[in-house]
Amino acid sequence: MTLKISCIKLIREDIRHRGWAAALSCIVLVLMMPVYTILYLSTFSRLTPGSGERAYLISYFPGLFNGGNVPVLAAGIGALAVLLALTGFGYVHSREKLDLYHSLPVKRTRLFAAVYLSGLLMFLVPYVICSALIMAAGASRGILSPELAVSCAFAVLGGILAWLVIYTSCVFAVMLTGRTAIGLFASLVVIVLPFMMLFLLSSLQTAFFESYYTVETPLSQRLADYLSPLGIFSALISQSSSGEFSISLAAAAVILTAVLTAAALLLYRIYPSEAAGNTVAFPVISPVVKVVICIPGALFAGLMAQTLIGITDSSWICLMSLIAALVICAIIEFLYTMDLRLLLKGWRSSLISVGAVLAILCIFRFDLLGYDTYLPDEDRLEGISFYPDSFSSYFSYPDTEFPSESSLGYYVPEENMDLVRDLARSGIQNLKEGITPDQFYTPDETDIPEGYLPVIFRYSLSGGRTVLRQYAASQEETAETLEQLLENESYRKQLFPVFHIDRDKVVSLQLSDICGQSTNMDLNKQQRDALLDAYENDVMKVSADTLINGKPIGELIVDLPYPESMTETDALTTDKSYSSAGNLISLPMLYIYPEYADTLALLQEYGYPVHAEIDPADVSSITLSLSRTTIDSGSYDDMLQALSSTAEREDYDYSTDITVTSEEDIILMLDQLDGYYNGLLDLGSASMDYVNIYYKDGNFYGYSF
Amino acid sequence: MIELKNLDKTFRDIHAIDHISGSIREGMVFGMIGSNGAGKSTLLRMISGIVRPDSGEILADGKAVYENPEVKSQICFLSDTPYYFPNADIRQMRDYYMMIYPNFNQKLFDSLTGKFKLEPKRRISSFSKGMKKQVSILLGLCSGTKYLLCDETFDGLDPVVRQAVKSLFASEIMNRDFTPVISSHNLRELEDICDSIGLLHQGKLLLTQDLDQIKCSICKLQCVVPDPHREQALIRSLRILRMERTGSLLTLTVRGDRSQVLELVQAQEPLFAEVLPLTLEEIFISETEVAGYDIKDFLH
Repeated sequence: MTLKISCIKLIREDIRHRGWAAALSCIVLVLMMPVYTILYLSTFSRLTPGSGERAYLISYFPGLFNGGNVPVLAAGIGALAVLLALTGFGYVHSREKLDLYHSLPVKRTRLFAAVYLSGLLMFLVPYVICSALIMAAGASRGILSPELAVSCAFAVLGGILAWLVIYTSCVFAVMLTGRTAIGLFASLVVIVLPFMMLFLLSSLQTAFFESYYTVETPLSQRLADYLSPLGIFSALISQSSSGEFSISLAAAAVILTAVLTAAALLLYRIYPSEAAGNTVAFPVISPVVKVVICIPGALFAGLMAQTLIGITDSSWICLMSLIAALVICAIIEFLYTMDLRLLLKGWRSSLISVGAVLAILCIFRFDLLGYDTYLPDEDRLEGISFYPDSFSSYFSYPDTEFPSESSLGYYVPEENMDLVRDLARSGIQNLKEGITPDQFYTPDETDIPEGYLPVIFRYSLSGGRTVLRQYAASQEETAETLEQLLENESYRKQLFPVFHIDRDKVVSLQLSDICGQSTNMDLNKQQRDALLDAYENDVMKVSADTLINGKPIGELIVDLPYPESMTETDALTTDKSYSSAGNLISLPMLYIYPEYADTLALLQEYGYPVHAEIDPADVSSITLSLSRTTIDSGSYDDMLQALSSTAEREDYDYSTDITVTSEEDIILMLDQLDGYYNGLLDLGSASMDYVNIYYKDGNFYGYSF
Repeated sequence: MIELKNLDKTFRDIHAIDHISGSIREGMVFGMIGSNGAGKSTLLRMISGIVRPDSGEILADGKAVYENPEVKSQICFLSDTPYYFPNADIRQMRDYYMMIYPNFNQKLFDSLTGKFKLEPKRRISSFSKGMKKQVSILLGLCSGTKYLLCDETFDGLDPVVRQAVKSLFASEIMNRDFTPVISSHNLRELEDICDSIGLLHQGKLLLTQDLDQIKCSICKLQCVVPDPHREQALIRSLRILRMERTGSLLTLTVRGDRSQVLELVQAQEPLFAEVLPLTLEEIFISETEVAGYDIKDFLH
């Protein structure tokens, strides 16, 4: 009982002595929470039930509690955590204060608890009161339903946990240091460094490895949300304000807070009073701290320099990182000694830091671990899939979750695994010869290697691990591989989206052809099913050569309802206007080839014939836009000279527009058209040249030229 | 009683306290003197439980001090630069000490602040350095602790206040179980008030004794012995700490009782002999000179 009373007295006294910090906490929170909310709510004039404004406000409202929608508040919460931690425990950085506090007949544990709790109360009390005021403001505008109140409560909880994570991180940092300014710097390091370290791996892979490919957030980056104070803070604020509250994230926050608090208490119990005024409270950790900060800091600085300066050569990253390592070592050594003459005092740890940075850079720069040339052993390989980049503009699947199986290509039959493995090997060889997937995404089209296309390979290994790589593969070899794979019926069924459609969910079908017009076909379910059956038959019957080398003449578009999961989310965000708009998802790119006899016949029978060519008689005019590069190259000189005198030419700085209206000119231009649809292995044109065809019915469509 | 058992403390490469052993008896004023950087403040901070010794043990009334609130409630430490809360006035500091020390004598404190003419409502930050020290002493004195550790607290006090504080200490010793431990460079001040002293030099405790005993065990001998053989015999017979010669006048700082020293010198038939007591300052200089801290080193 005595202990309890004493602790309360200590808390009371501490709050009294830090009255200014408590007052500042109150002012900041009042201004950023209830005052801001009231002002914000006043901008909404009508909040009638069912209105879009009301729905928007309800989805926005929880974010007013923790800064999810008010970044200044989130920053304020973080800043208050730092401030209260530094003002509370800053006494350990002053000899005079330590002489008073540590001579008191109070155990350090109790003193720590009192100061820790007083800081917590200085935030918690005004925060909870301000949250209650926001709730009251929401209720007064009639938007506070029980469900929203729960969301708001989670947002408040998220805000408190986020504050706690930053607060304990700072307390821990204070215990490692002997000066308040250094304590502030150390706080930033404790908060940011783990986040930076976890981000580095994938960032370095992206920067150095040509074959690096990922479809989802890398594991190390996902771990940052659970292991680093900054990641947890950010994730808690954003998640809890958007109506989601992950138990695992809350648990991570609680565990991290508990671990950091325990560590801080342990350090405080052994904190040497004579450390006040020193940079590091425990000199033995100085070299370790330097190495731990320097390595990720230098690598991060190198990557930042690359991003900011816009350099692409990874050698520059190495140079910048090494310079950064030297600078960071010098800065830390200066902070330790406060004497420029002693910058080399800790030369051993500096050497280790720079050496480690150099070693890491060598591993990545020279691919010492063989990342880019990795090809799993056959006995470890359980499955392999490949996904040429052209598939993304050829196939469209009904699954909406990302990353889906379809976005990485379907696993090939076991008997064909060697085919794909050989293609991957060929990709590795291309990479060694300097043909990389990155070249396809550069803005300069002249860098794009001809006859190649980027292909993603997915290896499923024994043990459950999945490995992704991307290489530039020869179009010819890819076509050969695909041709053989398409001979397999089950693979063909997997690959083509029509076989993934749930017929019962099909709402309607549209038809689009080379004229670009999309027609909603008035068909009953039987007709739709019959058409899709015919289409399936054609897909299975058509030769692989047609699919790979042929040109589609039209496409079927299937209208499906939004998946349940998406509508539920929409309901949660209460955007009802969205669902009332029909809520359909269109699945395009069920391409039709001239060889799809059954499909074409059925379409003809239903009264929707497919136009295989553009009839010049339907065209009123064509405007051809040629880039300056094309004009200068003279590629179309013959055609341009053949145009009649009615053709109008307009020159701009970077392009030239030629508009033709006469039938012979239109025919001439239509002959040059590249077609409306891409083939199975076509990457699409990167050319800046295009034509706009204006039809007599008033429509116009753009085509690549 | 405070017992120091083989205390040792090193700050990085500075050996601040070098295996010190000794004791501070109850009911007397203990003075801690020493050269600059001798380790006085460190020792006091160790006794008050602020600094943890690397090795050794500090016992107050038989119990370890560090992290022991029960023992620390009987020890009040007054730093050489006392800390007061921002914007605090005397009453707020008094209330804080009352919360911490259950035996705090509020009546005495209020009375003394009145006598020392310290305005209770005035911010302590606006006080002069000496007034801040006065507040610190009064807070410590009234905290009711058995041990009061004063780290150079008397420095900066005017002579009247210093005298008043000495009287207060004497009064407290008379009235209750009270043992002040005072470290200071002002040896003349300590000489007046201390019953016992400890002499620190370079982290080592050179001596710890009652002041009277020290004064009895060390003295200054001035003599003229005409016969050089007898003079040499006298020098051999004495435990000399310091020796100076001015013409035929020999001035010696020697260990031993004054009467014994006088007997020894008389035996050598001097023309003139006189044995004088040493001031604390002279004792300090002599003892530290023996330990290698010689004023001549500063002059040459």
